[in-house]
Amino acid sequence: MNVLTLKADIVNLPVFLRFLTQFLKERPFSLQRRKEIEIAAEEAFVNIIRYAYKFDKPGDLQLSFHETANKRVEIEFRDRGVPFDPTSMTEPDTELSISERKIGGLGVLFIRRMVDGLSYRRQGDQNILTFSILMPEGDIANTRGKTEAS
Amino acid sequence: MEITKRKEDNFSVLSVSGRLDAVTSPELEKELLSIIAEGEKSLVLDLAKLDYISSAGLRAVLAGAKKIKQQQGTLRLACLKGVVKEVFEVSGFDSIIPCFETAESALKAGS
Repeated sequence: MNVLTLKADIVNLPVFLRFLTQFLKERPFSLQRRKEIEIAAEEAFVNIIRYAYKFDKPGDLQLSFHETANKRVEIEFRDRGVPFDPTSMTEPDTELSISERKIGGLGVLFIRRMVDGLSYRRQGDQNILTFSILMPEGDIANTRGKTEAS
Repeated sequence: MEITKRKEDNFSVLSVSGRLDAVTSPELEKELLSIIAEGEKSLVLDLAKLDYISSAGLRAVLAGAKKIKQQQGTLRLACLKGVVKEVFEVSGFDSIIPCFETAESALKAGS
């Protein structure tokens, strides 16, 4: 289990994403899959700042990363903000024209598309959001390509 | 994230490289809005060297597309690939903003 505790502030986003990338690089994820997971993780992080802590009271955010016995990776987000359940949010209408389109809800859409399982629970004063991600078969060496630049 | 600008035909071509995330995207939005405010009506965003984009990056692109449309201009996207292409497809933005395989085809396409 790897645990990282940060203040839920946008300036800490790069720290979190670097930590996540390192965790994923130690496992056989492709570069494309790593980026998809990173996008989902960014959206969850930003939503906690925006909705759980409402921008003005950036409390702590505890991030845990671990591998389960059934070949999955779980990423858990724990905050002490107001109750916020991203799994209950409706998806945006992606058919609207350019003038009508809004950004709201896209983050949750990306999270749903890019992780294999998503669960939320409120426990005491904490929001607990968990990503569950299937681990690909194979070993790390096979996924290490020449496209490691990012 | 890095933005490089060039003029080609009647277009301003902006090449965006690196990452468009919640930290870096406001810079692109500011740049787009400032170019449009100066009167630019034809913009191509070349995303060949963009490695990563989140909803914050889409917000910046959408802000530019909306602003230029109000001024009867056009914003085109070129060279979407990998996860960047996927993000545009999942969000449906690839159907509201014209996308081209190459910067050259974006420049050549009729209005």
